[in-house]
Amino acid sequence: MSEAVTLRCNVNGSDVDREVDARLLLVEFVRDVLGLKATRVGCHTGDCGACTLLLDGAVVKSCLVLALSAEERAVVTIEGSNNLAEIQAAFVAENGFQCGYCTTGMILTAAELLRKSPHPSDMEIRHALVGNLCRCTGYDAIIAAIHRAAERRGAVGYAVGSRQ
Amino acid sequence: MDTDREAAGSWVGRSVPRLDGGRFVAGEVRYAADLIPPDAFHVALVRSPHARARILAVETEEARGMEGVVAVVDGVQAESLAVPMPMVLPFLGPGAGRPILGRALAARLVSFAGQPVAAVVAESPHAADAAARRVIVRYEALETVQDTEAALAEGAPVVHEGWTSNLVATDHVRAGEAAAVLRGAPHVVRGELHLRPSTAAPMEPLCYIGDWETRTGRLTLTGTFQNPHASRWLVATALGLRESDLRVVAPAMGGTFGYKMSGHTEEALVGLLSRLLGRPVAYVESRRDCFLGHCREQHHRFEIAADGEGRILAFRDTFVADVGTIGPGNGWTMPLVAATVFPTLYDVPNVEVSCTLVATNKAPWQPVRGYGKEVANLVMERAVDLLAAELRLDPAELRARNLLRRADLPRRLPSGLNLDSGDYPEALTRLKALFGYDAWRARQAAAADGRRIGIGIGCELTPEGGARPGAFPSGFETASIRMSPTGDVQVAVGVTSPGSGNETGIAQLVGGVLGLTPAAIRVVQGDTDAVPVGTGNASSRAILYGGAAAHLAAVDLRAKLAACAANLLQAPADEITFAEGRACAPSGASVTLAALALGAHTHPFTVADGVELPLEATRSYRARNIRVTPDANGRIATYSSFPYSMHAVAVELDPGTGRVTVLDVAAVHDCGVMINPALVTGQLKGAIVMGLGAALWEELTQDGEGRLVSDRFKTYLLPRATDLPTIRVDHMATPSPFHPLGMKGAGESGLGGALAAATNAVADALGALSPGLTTVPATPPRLMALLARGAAR
Amino acid sequence: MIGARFRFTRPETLEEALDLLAGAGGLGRVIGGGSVLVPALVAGQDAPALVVDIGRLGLGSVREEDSDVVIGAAATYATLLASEVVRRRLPLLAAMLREVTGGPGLWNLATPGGAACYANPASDVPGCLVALGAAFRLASRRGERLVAAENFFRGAFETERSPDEMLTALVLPAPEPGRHAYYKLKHAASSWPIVTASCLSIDGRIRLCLGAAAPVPLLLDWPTPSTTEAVAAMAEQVQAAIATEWTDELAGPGYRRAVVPAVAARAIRAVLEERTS
Repeated sequence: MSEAVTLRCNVNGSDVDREVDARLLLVEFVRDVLGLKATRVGCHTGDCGACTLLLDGAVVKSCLVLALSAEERAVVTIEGSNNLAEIQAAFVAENGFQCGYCTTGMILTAAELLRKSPHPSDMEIRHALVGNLCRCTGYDAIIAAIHRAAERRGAVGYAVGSRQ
Repeated sequence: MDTDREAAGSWVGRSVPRLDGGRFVAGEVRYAADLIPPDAFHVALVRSPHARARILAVETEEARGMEGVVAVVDGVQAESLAVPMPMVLPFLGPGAGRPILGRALAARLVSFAGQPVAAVVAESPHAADAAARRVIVRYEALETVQDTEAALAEGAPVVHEGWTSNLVATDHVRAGEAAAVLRGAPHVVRGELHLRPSTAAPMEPLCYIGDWETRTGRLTLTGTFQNPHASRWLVATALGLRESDLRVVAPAMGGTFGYKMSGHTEEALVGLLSRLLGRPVAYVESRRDCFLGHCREQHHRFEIAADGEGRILAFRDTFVADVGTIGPGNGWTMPLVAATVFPTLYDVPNVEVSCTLVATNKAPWQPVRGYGKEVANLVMERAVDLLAAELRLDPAELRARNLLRRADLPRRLPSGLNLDSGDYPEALTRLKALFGYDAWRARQAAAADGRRIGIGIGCELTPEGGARPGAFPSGFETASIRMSPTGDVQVAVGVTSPGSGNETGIAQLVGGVLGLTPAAIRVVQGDTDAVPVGTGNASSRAILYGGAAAHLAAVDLRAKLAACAANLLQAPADEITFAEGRACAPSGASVTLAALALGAHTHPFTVADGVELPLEATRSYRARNIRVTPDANGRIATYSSFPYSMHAVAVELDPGTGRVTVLDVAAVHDCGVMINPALVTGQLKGAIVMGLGAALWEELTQDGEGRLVSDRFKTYLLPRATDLPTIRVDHMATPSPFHPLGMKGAGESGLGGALAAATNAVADALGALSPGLTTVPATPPRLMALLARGAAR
Repeated sequence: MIGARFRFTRPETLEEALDLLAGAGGLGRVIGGGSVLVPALVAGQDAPALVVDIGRLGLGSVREEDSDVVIGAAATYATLLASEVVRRRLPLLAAMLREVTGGPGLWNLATPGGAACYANPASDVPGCLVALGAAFRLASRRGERLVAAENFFRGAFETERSPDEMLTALVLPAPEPGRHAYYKLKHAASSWPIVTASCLSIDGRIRLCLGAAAPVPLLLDWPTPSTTEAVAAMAEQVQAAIATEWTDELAGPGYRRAVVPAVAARAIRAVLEERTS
């Protein structure tokens, strides 16, 4: 039987060094140990995407990751993302959320899409969102928000990358 | 009435962005599970694998000895700590007063697979989970009933202790002479429809946190409470508390769609355990357990008759619903609502609807968006489509011939509900244009050999503002408005937000009355210590009732402010107007509301001369168009408002695989006056997608023993972004003559119409095989079996 | 959340990892992306004593070795989707990868190697790897061996890999890319695959591997057909080749068998039509 193990990683730009239980999921680590509640749990099976965060700069479903697998890696949650303003504003303008539970995962996923494809088509957006469930909106408003963000970013010149 | 509308005018109909939108998109909004205190204990439930069994022993010794475990409570111990929760809605069955399953933990008999039998409390959810797996429960498995036929058979095991049969309730709705007309009509079509179970599946599962304060003897429950005041009543009763010693707080909710209505026994359990252990206790439902909350399983047999001109003469539907076990919640009543909606939007002189609700060894039904109305619309629309095929009439044309006309309204349904207003034929006409109905039919006709394109229409009537006598609370909502000395306006309402944004709509209504921006209005919801008694969220009532109450309260406050302004500006009070944060006299002199508020509080004898202070008002809105006096048929009217919508769906059915692709979706919707059209559109589109899911993909499955099989999002298939086309919607706005602001309620509308249109589209794609489409959802295996049968013919 | 305790290790070397696995008997589990193991731990369906994370073993790359393409066991779907080597030399694999659902949050995490070791019949990877003639490089303290994909999948959720063995790489022979098609049937985006068909044209023959229809992938091979009737006959043969139909909660008895001819014919036709276009 193992007891607590040390986990060292970087979360939202700060080095973190904590004793954690090996059973802890990455989503539990950020929520319950670090108090970063914007990453949410909707299924525990990797199906819904509410727990989406960035691990080494790429979005992952953090309910599928053991916290200890983040050793010496960089974790970024929406609380630590500093280049999402256009996307967030677009989600508000287009009502790209209702209850908001899936929204942080949607926004981080949208940001990754726009990094790779600054002017995505409807189908590209739908494809990128296929791992994120929304039960409220029917997705149209989310897709409209991502289009709007792409247009705004195009207008101001595309800013690269999230902090990693 | 006109002045009411005028007063609310300035923000009504404007798509104001969500007031707190910035917090949502930043992830700063807190849901129940985000608020679990660090020192809380966590509950894991031990659930029965048997659908019906006697509990012989609950052996907890090993679990109690495990690391981090604080307590293990079984059903017998729980019985000594609380009484059963009462029912949200009174029991209507033939043996009224019989006991129901109001306890969180079964003590002697389990009645459905997944029923909790013991609660493990531990310092972490991990420890609780690990220990729950080590609780050994010895059962004597008993014969179960898993379907309504078996449940009603002579000598069937009786699901509920103390009952004499499994018959839960029946209802009969009649107008005219349906049976006689069906015998003699020139065209009669019969059909049947099996609805398989489905569920609301909000993204956030249940979460309840009980926090007993020993010093004061008060309990605070924080959680996913769609109906905080109802839950306060149920839990206070179960725990023997004064209601004033129980505070129920509902923070932001991650969607509800009915699922988080009161009556989950875990609401009381966390309070019981917190009182027992003197620490906060949290229960967070797993996604798997969230799927136990099924509903909609029922079987309809219907007949519809028409004359040679395509006038519907009669409709008859007989249905049996499998409502599982009866818990404290009201989910089981949904089929009773379904029965009241027929014959929906059509002018049908002879109607007969009979429903029978049957208990089986399954989990209690949980409420779902649509609340039975979606089922009535589905059945009616299938019947109309089958009739169109019999008459060789275009389904849209048959509908156009039979929809009630604008001048026919108001019109009393056979069930006693009184349709308010609308222009159903116009909505259908607009739908055909929006959807491109004729172009789609042309495309269908031109489809290459072997391609099966299907086009379906669904007309939906969604009674809203439910006010069933005996329900708590019923038929009214209340708002309290107050203006502080700095002029800050707060409005507390008894309706909750399920995440729909209704707080923005309420702020628009209040802001319009007071000449303030919506952003200046703080809306308080979901706290029984802070808001007037109210229903919470149900039946699209948030703006319909809560908004109307807030509007009334704001008008009262404005009158006080006008009197104060009249004192200050030396003008008649009835000539004071309010705009841009100022009260203005006809002379052009004006004063800010902030100055007015400070003046009223600090100079009550001058500024507030003749005004009853404080600057507060509490008003209640009571629904009109509700009738509690039975009519000639013994029927009352329990819904006030009747939004409706017309839907069209185009699909392609793959004859090689039975797979359905949704090609196009359009809807025209009328909920009367809209406060925030963008938010209404959002609600409508969400409901439409739920309807598509229910039509095509969403199905809860159980094994032969009643154990849940579809326990995750890979087996219970919610629609995803790639499953859907862009949905096109348009609104009409026929004001309700029975509502002071002309509203009818938004939120539920769209589900039933989309469900019906998609089902009809699949049937259309099946062509001659369409009568075989008798099960919803129309999954690929079911369609493939139908296609294979067709090929074999 | 996970209830049962286990020991977690993230070794730096393969030797260390293999020692750990050997020491764990049957209670050791390898974790790559975690998309299979972690939900199983959460659901209490698996309770290992030891979890070995292969994230530090340098197994995440794709490289060309002689005529083969070697895909590290820890290479994610996203890595492969972005790989020029995969795009150029393994277009069928690339086509399969594009059809994997789950979204970027899964593609950035999960690995085809892990999916293969899980051997869920209802998945994309096994059938495609069999079609491509992949081999599985398995390492243990006892040594290394290479197992052909056809022999690797022994049954539903059952592979040739022993508990003390670790998949280190998928080895794919990559001749000049021929014509190919990947066809996948699923009820909706949420569902797992119901039937897949990986089809290749190689040396004047058509090779088709049917996935998800039976407990293990089914491989068939014909001379290139010249008529529509011949394609239909091939599709019938694929259906007839299913000895045991795979069934699950989304597709009960009879469904997969019923749709196989359509799925197979579409994949074959797609390969043939690609030639003419």
